[in-house]
Amino acid sequence: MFAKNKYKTLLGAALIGLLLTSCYDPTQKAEEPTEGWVNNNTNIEYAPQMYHSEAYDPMSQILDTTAGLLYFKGEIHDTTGVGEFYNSNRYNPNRMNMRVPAANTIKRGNMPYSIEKEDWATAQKNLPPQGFFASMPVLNEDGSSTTTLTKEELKEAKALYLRFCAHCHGEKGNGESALNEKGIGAPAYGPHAYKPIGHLFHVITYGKGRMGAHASQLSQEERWKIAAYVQQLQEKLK
Amino acid sequence: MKSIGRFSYALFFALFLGVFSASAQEIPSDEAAIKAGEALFKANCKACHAMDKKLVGPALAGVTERRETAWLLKWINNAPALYESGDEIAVQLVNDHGGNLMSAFPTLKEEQILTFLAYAKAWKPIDEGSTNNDPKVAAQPQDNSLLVIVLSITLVILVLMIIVLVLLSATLTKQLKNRGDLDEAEEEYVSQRHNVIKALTHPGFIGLVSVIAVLVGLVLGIEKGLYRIGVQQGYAPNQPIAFSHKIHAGENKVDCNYCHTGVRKSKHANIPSPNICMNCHNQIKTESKEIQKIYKAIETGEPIKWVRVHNLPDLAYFNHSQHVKVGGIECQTCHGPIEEMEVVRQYSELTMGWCIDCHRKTAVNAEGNDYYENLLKVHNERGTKEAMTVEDIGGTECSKCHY
Repeated sequence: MFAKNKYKTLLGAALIGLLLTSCYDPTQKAEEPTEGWVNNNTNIEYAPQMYHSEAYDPMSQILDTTAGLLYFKGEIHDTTGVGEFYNSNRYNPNRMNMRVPAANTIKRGNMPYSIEKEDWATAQKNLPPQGFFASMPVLNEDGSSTTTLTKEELKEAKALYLRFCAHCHGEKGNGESALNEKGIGAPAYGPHAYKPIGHLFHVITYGKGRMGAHASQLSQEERWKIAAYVQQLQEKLK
Repeated sequence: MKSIGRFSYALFFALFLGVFSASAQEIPSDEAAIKAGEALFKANCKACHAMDKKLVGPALAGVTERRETAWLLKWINNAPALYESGDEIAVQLVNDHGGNLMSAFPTLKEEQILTFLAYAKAWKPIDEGSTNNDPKVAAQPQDNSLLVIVLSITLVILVLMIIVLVLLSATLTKQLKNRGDLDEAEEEYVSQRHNVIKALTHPGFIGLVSVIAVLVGLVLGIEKGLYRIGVQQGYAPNQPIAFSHKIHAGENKVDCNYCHTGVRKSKHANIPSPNICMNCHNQIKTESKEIQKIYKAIETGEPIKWVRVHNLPDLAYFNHSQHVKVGGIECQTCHGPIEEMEVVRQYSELTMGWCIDCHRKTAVNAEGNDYYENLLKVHNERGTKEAMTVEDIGGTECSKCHY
C-alpha cells in the first residue's frame, strides 16, 4: 500500500508532530476556571526586550533588580549591575515610580477650595463659579438653593452620579441600594434631609460621618455636577 | 377649706393633663399603624438600623421596652439637639456607637413616629426554617446525576455488547472448525492467528498512527503551544491583598469607575490608591485581616505591591479612555465577567489578532461627535451601505498602536 520512502516521510511527520507537542505547557490554562482560581504562570515570552517598558512606568513597575540580567560564563555581563528590565526609580522613597504632587501645588486650571471642613455655615452659602452651569443656581432666603439643569447637563450629571454615588445612596437617591441592604448607613436625600448645593459640594469634597472624602476621585467640576444632580433628586423626593 | 379646694382642682387639672398627654403618646397596636410604621422604617431607618442586629445604629427590636416613649419621640425627632443638651442616654448611645450620631428627622410628625414604634413593638423574627426549601437549588444536582446515570448505563451496555460479540465469534469459530466440510481456503481463514508484530508493521497501521501523531502535534503543539507563546490568557496571579471583585463589583454593585478613576481620563484605568478603599473601609469591616493590610500601608507609607494582571507588551500602545469614553465599550467586553471573579484573571487573549478582529467588526458610534463628521462623509461617499468600522478610519494602521 505504501512505498518504502513514503514510510519514511510519514514517520518523519509523526516525529515532528510528537516534537511539536512539547511546546504545549499543560500548566498554562486559559479555560473557564473554578472560583478563587489562581494561576501564576505568565507563559513563555517570545521577545522580552520588546515587552518590558524601559522607561519608568508606574503601572508596570519591576522591582526585581535581576530581571533580565545578562550572564556570560557565570559572570554578570552588565555594566549597570542591574537587569535590563529593572525599571524602578531608586531615588524615590520605596523605589516608587509614581509620586504625589509637591505640597501646595495647584492643578492647572483649578482654583483651590478654601472653605475649611468645619465651616458649614460658609459652605452652605457657597455656589459654583459663574458660568459653570447654563443657568446659575439660586440661593433662596430660607437657606435652600434652586438648581436648573439643561438636558445635556442633566445627562452628564446623572452618569456621574450613577458611577460614584448610586451604589450607596441608591439610583433615585432614596437610599435603596445593595450596600444599604447590608446596613452601611448611607442616608436617603429626602424627604427629611434637604440641603443646599454648597453643602452637598462640601460633603463630597471632605466627606461627612461615615462617608469618605471624594476629592481625589472627582474634579471640582464633576463634584458640582453631582451636587446639582442630587438637588434634582431631592426635588423628586420632597 | 378654700385652699384645699384649690389644691384638689390643681391636682385634678394635673391628672387630666397627665392622662391627656399619655393618651397622645400611646403606641398604637392596630394593623394599619404597624403597616405604616414598617413603610416608614424601610424609607428612613433601614440604612443604619436592623431589627435583629446592630449595624451602624443599635438593633431596634425591643426598643419600646428599653426606652420611654417620650424620650424616643424626642430622640427620633431631633437626636443632635438631644445630644447637645447633654441628655445622659443620648451621650451614652453616641459613645457606644463609635461617635456616630443619628440624623434629625424634624419633618416626621409625632403620629408617624408612633406608628414606627408600633412596628418595632410588633416585630418578630422571621422563622428561617420556612425559607430554606428553595426548589431551584435542590433541582440542579439532580439534573447532573441524571446525566451521569444515563452515560454509565450506555457504557455498561457497550461493554456487555463487546463481551457478547467476542463470545459469539469464539463459539462460531469453534463450530466451523468442528464441521470438517470446509475447503482449504476457508480452513485457513477460520484458523488464522492474529500476529501482533505483523499488525504493528502493517503499512495501514503505521499510516494511521502517523496521521494521528501529526494531528495531535498540530493541535497541542501549534494551537496550544506555539500560538500561546507570549499570550498570558488565564493568568490570575496571587495578590498581596485578597481583594474580591465578586463582592465589590458583583454583590455590592460598586461601579468600576468608582475605584478605577483613570479609565475615562487617561491611558491607564489605574489601581486605586488606599485612600479610595478608606472611603468605605474607615468604617466598614475594620476588623478584617485583609483590610488591616491597607491600614498598615497607610500608616507606614509603604505602597501595596499589587501584581499587574494584564501585561500588554510595551511595543503596543493602548489607551483606556479612548476605548471607554469615546468608544463607549463596556469593561466586560475585554475583561470578561470581572464582577464574578474572586481572583482577577486575564480573560481575553490580548493578541494583535484579537485587537484587529474587533477593530474590523466594530462600527464607530459617530453620532453627536463632530470629530467623525468628515470621516463619515468620506465613508458615505464610497457608496457602501455598511457601517463605518474602526478599520475604515485607520484602526488597523500599524502606527496607530506601534510607534
